[in-house]
Amino acid sequence: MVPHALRRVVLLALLLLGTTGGAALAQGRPVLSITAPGAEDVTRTGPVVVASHMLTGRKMQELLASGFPARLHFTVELWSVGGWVNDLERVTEWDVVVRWLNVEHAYEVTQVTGNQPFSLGKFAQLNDAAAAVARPVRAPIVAFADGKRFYYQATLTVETLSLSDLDEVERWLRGEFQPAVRGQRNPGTVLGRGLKTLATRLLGGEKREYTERTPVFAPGDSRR
Amino acid sequence: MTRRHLLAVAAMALSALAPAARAQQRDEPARDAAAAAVAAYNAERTMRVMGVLDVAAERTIEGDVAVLNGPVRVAGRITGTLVAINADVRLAPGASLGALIVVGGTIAGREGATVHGEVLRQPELLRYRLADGRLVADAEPAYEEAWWKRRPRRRAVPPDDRSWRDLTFTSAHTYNRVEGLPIVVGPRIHQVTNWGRFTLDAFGIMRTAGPVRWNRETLGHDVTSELQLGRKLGLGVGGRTFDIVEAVEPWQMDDAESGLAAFALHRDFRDYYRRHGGQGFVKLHAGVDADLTFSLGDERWQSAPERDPISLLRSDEPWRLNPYMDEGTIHLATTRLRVDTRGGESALWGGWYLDAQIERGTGRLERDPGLLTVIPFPEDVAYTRGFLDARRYTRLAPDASLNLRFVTGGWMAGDRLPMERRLSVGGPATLPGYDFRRTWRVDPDVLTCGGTNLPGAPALCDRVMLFQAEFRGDFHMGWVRNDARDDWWRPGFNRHAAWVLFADAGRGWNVGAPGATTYAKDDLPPLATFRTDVGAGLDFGSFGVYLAKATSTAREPMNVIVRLRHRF
Repeated sequence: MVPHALRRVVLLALLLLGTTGGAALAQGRPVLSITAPGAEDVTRTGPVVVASHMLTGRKMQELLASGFPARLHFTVELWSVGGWVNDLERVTEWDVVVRWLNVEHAYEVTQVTGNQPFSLGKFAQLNDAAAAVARPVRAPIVAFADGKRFYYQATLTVETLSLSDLDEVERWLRGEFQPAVRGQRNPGTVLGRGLKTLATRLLGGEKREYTERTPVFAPGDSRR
Repeated sequence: MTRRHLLAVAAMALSALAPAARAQQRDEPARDAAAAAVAAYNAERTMRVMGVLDVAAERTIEGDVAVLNGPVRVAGRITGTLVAINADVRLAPGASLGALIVVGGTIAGREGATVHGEVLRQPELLRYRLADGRLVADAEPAYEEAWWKRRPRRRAVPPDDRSWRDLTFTSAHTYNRVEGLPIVVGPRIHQVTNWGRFTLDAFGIMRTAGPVRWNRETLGHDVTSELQLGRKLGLGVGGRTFDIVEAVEPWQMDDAESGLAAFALHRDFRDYYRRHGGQGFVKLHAGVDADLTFSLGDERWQSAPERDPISLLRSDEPWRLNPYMDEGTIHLATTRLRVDTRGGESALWGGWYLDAQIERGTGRLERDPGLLTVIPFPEDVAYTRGFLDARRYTRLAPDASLNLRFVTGGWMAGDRLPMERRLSVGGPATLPGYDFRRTWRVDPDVLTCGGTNLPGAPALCDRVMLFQAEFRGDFHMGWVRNDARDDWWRPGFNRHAAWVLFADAGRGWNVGAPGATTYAKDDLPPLATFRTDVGAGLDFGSFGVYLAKATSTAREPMNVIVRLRHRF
C-alpha cells in the first residue's frame, strides 16, 4: 500500500504538471475568433477576424527560422439559416504570408488579397510578427435585410510550407526529380531540399485548420 | 478641404485645446479614426517612420510623428500627435504624448503614461497604398454592395504558368499486374508565349514486371505534343503517338489508388489491354475548368497477359488473370466534354464535375471467343459508345455537404462493344457492399453480366448505370495531441476528419433480346433490379475507412473498405 505522504507528493506533482501545462497552453495556443458587428451595423459592415498566437509555438518558430514560410489562408463565409439546409450567401478570402528574411534578419509579414500583396511590416522579433498577423481584419462581406437569419463562419488554414514546396515534395516523394532542373533552381540542392522537407514533415509541418463561427443573428434584431 | 482633412484638423485641434487633460481613449468608428490617421500622416510637418520607432526616455520629438507597421516604443516625449498605423504602441511609465491615434494596433502601458490630448483608436487593420509619399487608404469594399459578386467563380489560369523544359525520370504513378512499376523517361517542353503555349512530352516507358524481356512487353513510348492558342479561352491542336498498357475501366478508381492496392494487397482492381498507335486532336478550352476535345485515332489493340510483379502481401498467390481482349486494328473518333467547377482549394460553393464522351469505333477485330473452343477470325466492327460521369458537390452548412454522382454509359449503336469497351459495377469504388468481381451470391449477375464465369472475370456488360450519394460532416479529432503539443513523436492525433454516410445503387445489362440480364436497346431495367448498398465511414483526408453492407442481397456479408481518396 502506498503511504499517504507519498500519495500526496505524487498528487501534488501531477497537479503542478497539469497546472504548468495548462498555463503554457493558455498563453500559446492558437486562437481564431470572429465577431459579428453590432445590431445597428450588421447590414453596413462585416465581421472582425482575429488570429492570435499563430506563430508562437516552438515548432512554428523552428520552421520559420529554417527558412520555411508560413501561409495563413483566411476564408470568411456568410451563411443564411434554412429549415433543413443552410445557404452560403457570400464569401471572401485572403492570405497572410510570414517568412524569415535571412539577409535582413527580419520576419516579413504580407497580406495578400486578390493577388494584391500588402506589407504588414518587417520585424526583428517573432512576437512582433505574430502581433502583425493577429491584427483584426474586417471581412468585407455584409448581411442583408430580407427576413433571413445569418451567421458568419471563419476558416483559417495554416501551412508551414509554401504551396510550391508542397508540390515539390509531393513530386519528389513520387520519384520525380525534375523540380531540380526546372526554372532557376539549383540542381545541386535537390537532395538537400527533399531531405529538409521530409524533416519538416517529421517535425509536423502539415496543414492545420481552425474554424470559428458567430452566433446566429437577424438584421434588425436589436435583442442580440 | 475634404471631410478627412476636416477630421484631422479637428483631432489636432482637440489635442491643442486640452493639453493638460487626461484624455479618455475612444474606439472610434473605423472611418473616423482611419481618416484622422491618414490626414495626420499626410500633413507636411509630420515626421514619418516606416517600421520600428524607439523613443528613449531622455529623447524628445517635437511635432507630430506617424509610424507605419511599427512597433512603437515610447519612454520619452512626443510633443505632437503620435499616429500609429497597423502598429502596436507600447508606452513606458513616464512617457508623454500630445495625442495618440492608433489604427490597426494595440496600446500597452497607457496607465503609466501621459497623453495630453485625445486618444483615438481603430482596432481593425487599415489597407492603404503610398502614392508619391502620400498615404491613400483603400476603398472599403464592405460598403460596396456588389463587391463580393466580383469574386471570380471560375478558377484562373495559374499565374506561375511559365516556360520550362526538363528531363523527366519518374514512375508512371501506378502499379499493376501487367507492367509492375512503369518507369517513364524523357524530355518535357512547356513553352509559354503571348498567344498561348506549346507543350511536348516525349516519354519512353520501361515496364519492370518480371520476367523482363527486352521487347514490346517491356518497352513502350508515349509522346504527346500540343499547340495551344489563347490562354484563358482558346483552341489547341495536337497529336499523340503511343505504345502503352491501358486500363479497361479507368473511371472506377484512379491510377494511384489501384496501383497501391496492387502493390500492397496483391489486389488489382482493373483489367488492361495494349494500345499501339496514334491520334490527332483539336481541343477547345475555357481555362482549367472546361474543355471540349475532338480526336481521331488509328490504333492496334492486343491482350496484355499478366506477369509476376512483386507485392507486399500475398506475394505467393497467383495474380487474377488479365482477361483476353479483342485484338485487331481500330479507327476511333471521339468527342469528350470535361467540366470541373469544384473550385480551387476551398471549393466554396461546392461545384459540378462532368465527363461526357462519345466514341465511334470502326475496324477489324478478332473477338475473344470466351469459353468456346473456336479459332477467332477477324471481323468488321463498327460501334458507338457513350459515357457520362456527372457529379454535384453541395455544401449544406459550413461543416456538412451532400455529394451526388450519376454514371451511365455503354453501347449506343452498331455492333456489340469490344471487350476493351465493356463495363461493370461492383467493388470498392462503385458498390462497396459487393465484392469486386465475385458475384456468386448475386443472381442474376447484374454486376459483370456473366463475366465472372470467364477466366479473369472480365467486365461484359454493354451498359451500366450507377447512382452514388454521400452525406459528409466535418469534425475535429484530437487525442493526446493538440495544436500546442503536436510534435511528431507524441502518440495520439490532432486533425480534421469527416464522417460519411453513403448509399449506392447500380447495375449493368446487355442489349439484345430480353432476358435476365438483357434488355431491348430502348429499355431501361426496372429500378427494383438494381443492386444497392449503404454504409458509413471515416474519411481522414489521405485515407478513409468504411463499412458497407449490401441491402439488395441479404447473403452478402458486410465489407470493410479502405480508400486512399474521397469516394468520388
